[in-house]
Amino acid sequence: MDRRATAAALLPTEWPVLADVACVAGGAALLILVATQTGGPARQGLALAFLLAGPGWAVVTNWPGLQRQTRAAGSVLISLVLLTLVATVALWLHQWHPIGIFEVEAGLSILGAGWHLARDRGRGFGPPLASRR
Amino acid sequence: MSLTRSPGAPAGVLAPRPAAVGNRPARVRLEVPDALLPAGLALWGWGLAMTDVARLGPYGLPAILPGVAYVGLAVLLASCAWTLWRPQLSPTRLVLHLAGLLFVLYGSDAVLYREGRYSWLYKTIGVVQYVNLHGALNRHIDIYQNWPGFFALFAWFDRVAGIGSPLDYGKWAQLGFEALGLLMFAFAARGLPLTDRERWIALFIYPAANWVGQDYFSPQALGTVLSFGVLGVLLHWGAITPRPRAAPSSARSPRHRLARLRSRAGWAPRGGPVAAGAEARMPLAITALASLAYFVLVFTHELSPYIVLAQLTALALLGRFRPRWLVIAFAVIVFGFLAPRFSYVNQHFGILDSIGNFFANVLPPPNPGRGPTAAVAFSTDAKMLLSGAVGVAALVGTVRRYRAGRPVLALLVLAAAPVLVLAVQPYGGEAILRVYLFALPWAACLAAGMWGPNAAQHRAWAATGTLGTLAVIATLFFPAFFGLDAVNYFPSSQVVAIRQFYRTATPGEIFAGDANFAWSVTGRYNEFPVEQLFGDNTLLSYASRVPSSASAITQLVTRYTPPGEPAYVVLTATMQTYATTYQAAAPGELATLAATLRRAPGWSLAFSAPGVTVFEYPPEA
Repeated sequence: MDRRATAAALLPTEWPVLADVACVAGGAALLILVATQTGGPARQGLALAFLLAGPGWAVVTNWPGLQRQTRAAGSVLISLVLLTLVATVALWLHQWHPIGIFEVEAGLSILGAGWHLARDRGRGFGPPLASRR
Repeated sequence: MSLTRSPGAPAGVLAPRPAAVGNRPARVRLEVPDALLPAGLALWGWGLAMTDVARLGPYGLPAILPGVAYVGLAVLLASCAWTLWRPQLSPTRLVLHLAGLLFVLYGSDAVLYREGRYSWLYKTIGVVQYVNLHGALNRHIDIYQNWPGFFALFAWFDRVAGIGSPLDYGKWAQLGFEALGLLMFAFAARGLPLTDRERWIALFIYPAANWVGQDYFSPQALGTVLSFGVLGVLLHWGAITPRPRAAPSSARSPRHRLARLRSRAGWAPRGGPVAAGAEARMPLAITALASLAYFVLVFTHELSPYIVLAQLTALALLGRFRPRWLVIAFAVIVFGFLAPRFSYVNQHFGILDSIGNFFANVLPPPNPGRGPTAAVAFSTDAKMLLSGAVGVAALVGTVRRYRAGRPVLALLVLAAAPVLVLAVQPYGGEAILRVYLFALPWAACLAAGMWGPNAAQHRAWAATGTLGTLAVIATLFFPAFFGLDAVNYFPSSQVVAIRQFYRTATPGEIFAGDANFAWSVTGRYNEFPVEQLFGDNTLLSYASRVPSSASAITQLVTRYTPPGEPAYVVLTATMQTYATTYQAAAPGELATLAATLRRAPGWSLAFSAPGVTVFEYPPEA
């Protein structure tokens, strides 16, 4: 199998791994940008990505019962639900610390995706999901 | 090696795709739509580049778009229809086409206009800023502060993203929320008895027919996304499932019981040892997710959770949804949240008075002036025709599905249940719009069945029919959605000026020509209550129009201003456009008022910028 064919064959199998890596790296990068109070398009883009998929991906990647096609919608839904819930409860409890809340959420998201990544590395990236069952 | 669904395998169970012959990578064959899509988008983009927003007239954006833009739209729609009726559906191509169509329908205004459309957009921006300014809510200010989910989320987002105001991205909200809504709709539609092709056709019809404009930066936009999400979760795991069969005796061993517990909690791979028996029950983790999402929906938007509840109740009563107790749990959540807020809502929106007034609740909001101009009537006709076209298409699709022996009940229930809202609330005259909004996706699913079960054998005919349908819908969409842009468009200079006024002014009562300006675009919006001067049921309504004399205006303003506060009269060019469009004031009437106030004793010019004039009547005067 030539190199192009290998890459094409691996991508569909390994994209959840890439998403885990993106979740960990993106979350960490955003944490650094927020902590250093660096503004600009990079921070805005990462914040949007975190809003739409950060916490949600950390959940669905550790949720083996979910079908592959459900994961995109599932991670967006779970992200929006969790972030809205936490922000609103903080307001209701008069504990409005958006940056502090974000730091906790980002930390947990990195942990979730990182946990799955580490577990997957332990198993090896090898065979596709279906044949692992 | 890649994954594919094996023939006959349940949805989501993936198997390795057979290797290409000779281990050579499969080649992507270029097809006609691969050229049509970029060509259509390029023509559309060229058209946008030639569009001069300063020429916006009474017929809105459609009247000033050059012909090349419409040629681009036609090419894009042809490409969509072609791609929808390929022998083998190509998800990548379909997603690209859908993204292109979304950009044309919902991204074009964001490209052309420097600020977001709709005056009411600026109020939601103000509430987000209020949250970040005060770090708390005040439930006595308005209903938004009682349903704060959306505002809390975006106040949090602005701080994390380092953005000063949602004004920076608000104009892109329609495109963003439509894209998210489509993702969730696609998810929900996968739980319905539709073919893949029907699902894709519905995904194209829905955005092209969604003229309601509730996808701007607002709680309703997020509410729509969450509603789709809740329904998606429930339709996947709770809809139309047969009763669970008794587990075979072999499944009673400790190992199988443990596996069954994990499966019911939703934390085990599908297809595990007990999956066949357990799938009939909704896993606990899924139940928890749906309940949590519904709870968030409940405090995000006032109306959406009731429509979802109506849809689920109807499905449960007809035996198309389980577990039924979840419907009761949802009712407890939504009414439990409403109970402590009921007196506020009833006092301001008269819930008890409107219950049962179905025909009164159906009525759209009253005209703010003496009557619509021909341009407004044209846009309204386009909305009615578009709604009717979707209804007819859904009816034809229903009949064809029914005659083919395919299930229609669940889709019909989902499309019809939102009507129940009309028995309870007029929702400020917008209930009928929300009914259309919530019925549309399921009507689109029904309409997608128009071509019948054997359409794949007559693809040319079906593709032509699809193109015709999309063309009719898109043609009506433009005047329906963009037809009033002369009113809904706000020049950047005016928005900047109004923000500047809010930043520097002492809190006081605002008397605006009408509400068509960037009102409340400040975190201090509660310190500047707004009264309208022109229009129906306003201070200077036609029924009781007072002479535009200085003393009469002063008398009126002082009567409505709390003691010790200044009063402001705010007049903008966009207000005059609105007043003229709806015949709430004569052309030039606001300029006459400005000239009167310029000479009036006690009044001073507090702020002036291109298109914006603010007069102040100080408390000590």
